[in-house]
Amino acid sequence: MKIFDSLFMAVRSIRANKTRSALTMLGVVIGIAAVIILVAIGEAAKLYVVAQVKSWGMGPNVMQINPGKNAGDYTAFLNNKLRVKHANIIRDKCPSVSAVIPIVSGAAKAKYGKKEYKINQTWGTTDDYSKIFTHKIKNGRFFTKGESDGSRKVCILGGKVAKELFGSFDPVGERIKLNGRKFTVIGVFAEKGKMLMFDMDDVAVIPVTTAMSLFNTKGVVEIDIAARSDELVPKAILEIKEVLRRELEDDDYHIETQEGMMNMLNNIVGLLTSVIAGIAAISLIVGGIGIMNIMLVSVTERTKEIGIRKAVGARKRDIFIQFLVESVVVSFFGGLFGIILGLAGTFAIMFLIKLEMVVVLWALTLACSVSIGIGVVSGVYPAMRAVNLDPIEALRYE
Amino acid sequence: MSKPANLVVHIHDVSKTYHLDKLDVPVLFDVDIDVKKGEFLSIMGPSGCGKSTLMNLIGCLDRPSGGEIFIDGENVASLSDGGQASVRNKKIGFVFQTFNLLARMSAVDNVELPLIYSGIESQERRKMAEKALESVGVLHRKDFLPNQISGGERQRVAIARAIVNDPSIILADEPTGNLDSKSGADVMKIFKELNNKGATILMVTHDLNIANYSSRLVKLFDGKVLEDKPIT
Repeated sequence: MKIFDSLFMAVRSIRANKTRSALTMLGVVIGIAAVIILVAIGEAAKLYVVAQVKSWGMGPNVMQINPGKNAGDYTAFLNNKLRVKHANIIRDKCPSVSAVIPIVSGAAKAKYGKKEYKINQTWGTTDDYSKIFTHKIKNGRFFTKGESDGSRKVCILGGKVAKELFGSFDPVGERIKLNGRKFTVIGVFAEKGKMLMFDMDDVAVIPVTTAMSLFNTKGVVEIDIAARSDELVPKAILEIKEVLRRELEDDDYHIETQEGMMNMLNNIVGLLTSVIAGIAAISLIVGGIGIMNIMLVSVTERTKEIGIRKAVGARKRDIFIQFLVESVVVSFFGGLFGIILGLAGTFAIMFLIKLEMVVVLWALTLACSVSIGIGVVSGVYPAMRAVNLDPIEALRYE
Repeated sequence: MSKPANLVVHIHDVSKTYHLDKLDVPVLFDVDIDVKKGEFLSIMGPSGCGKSTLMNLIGCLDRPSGGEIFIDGENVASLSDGGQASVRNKKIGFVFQTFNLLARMSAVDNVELPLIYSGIESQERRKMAEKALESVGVLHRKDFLPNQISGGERQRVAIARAIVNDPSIILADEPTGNLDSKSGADVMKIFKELNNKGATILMVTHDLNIANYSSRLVKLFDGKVLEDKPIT
């Protein structure tokens, strides 16, 4: 028997039971569509993460030092050995480094007249802040080196903080209180929106020495470093490690590159995507069982047909292929409709949440192969049952 | 063992015993029948005498417990499953009491079925199937489904399917059993015509009037050949 004849036979048999075939396909359709939609959302989320990190202004040449042995080691903040002097050492002794800023962080309550507002994060840093981060000033200016070194009580407010305290009125030149101490507002940041859930407009920036006394801390939560070029990042890391070796233990800090952070974020998003897509894939197994079930019913129903086919010369192989092809065709078309539904669903969802639509080619290829695979796996057992029917018994079957 | 070349079917010393759970049921004992090319032979006997079993053995749907069955000089009892399927496809044409047409397929598609398993191209298949339908006088019904035509026509379509691959022998199992007497007579006329054109036919029946269309009668009783004589 020729393969084209088997395909034709299978399509004919599937069309003879339209409703049943459609319902059988539905399991695979839903499973494949769900997997495609979830993978696409995951991929879009990855791109979103990358775009967010880039919008923060950290180029690929920027590195970050945090306390602790590795990222996520939050206990390290309790025993934080990073100091402003480490930032200065790196700045002075690492030739591959172009700019370094320490960040001291705390929570401050701002007060203007009778209005009070609890700022999400207040950062203490140096005048080199803008050399590393793109955080534009809308009104006023950033603090100078003199103000930074002189522990002056000046601050730049995030857009949201300015709005909460001053409304539409320009706060530059006004005096506010942060945790009870008087500060002069010298600038307002342009609105930047949320970055990875963190509201970049709900911040205030003050000189690092001022922050250390305001929050009564010496610990630096973060040192941001710009290498002179992207290519110099590995060399800069070596230099930084070398100069810090005399100051700190290896376990006291870790250096992250933008690439590393993106990889980590991508890994997290990727893992979540896989887990969710994996759960969706369970419905594919259910779909496969559905196909097997219907194929078994079909073999029983068509016992007589199988007997007739054997009587006119069908070999075991022919019968096996006939039922297997039927199962694969059902599953494959299920997969195909699933892909169409999945792409339509992805398009609709991306439109609603306003993310760019990503067509994940590997997911489509995988969907096709998986649906064929399901067809084969679900078809083998019913096809074996058909093959092993005794032709005499089968011919007698009514 | 000798395998006379002019014999289409050579049955030698064939016995068949069915093994049920704890019981052995012997059905055929030491049967010897030879069918020459161009013969039209009827097998008669009461229910349970073993005629259907004998048909299934000749038709390669089953294997004998003992003895040998040659079709066109080939010992089919020793063939593999695939080899037997090939014999069924090319050398045997079955005609059943209940027609056994595939209900979802048109007459011509039913006739094409054996050709699909011979690996013949679809255009060639169609030609051969139409020729077979024409030779039994039902070409005008080729696009009808089995349930849209009369019993007699269905049996003719079944005969067309049996002869489409030009088999060595046609095996007919009570071919008129489900037909009224007129349709039955028509079907028998077709068998007679095919036989006149040279077809070898082996028919099982319990109706002597039907058996009289053939040229030789074998009577089976309790699994043994009781009588084997020409019909004049």
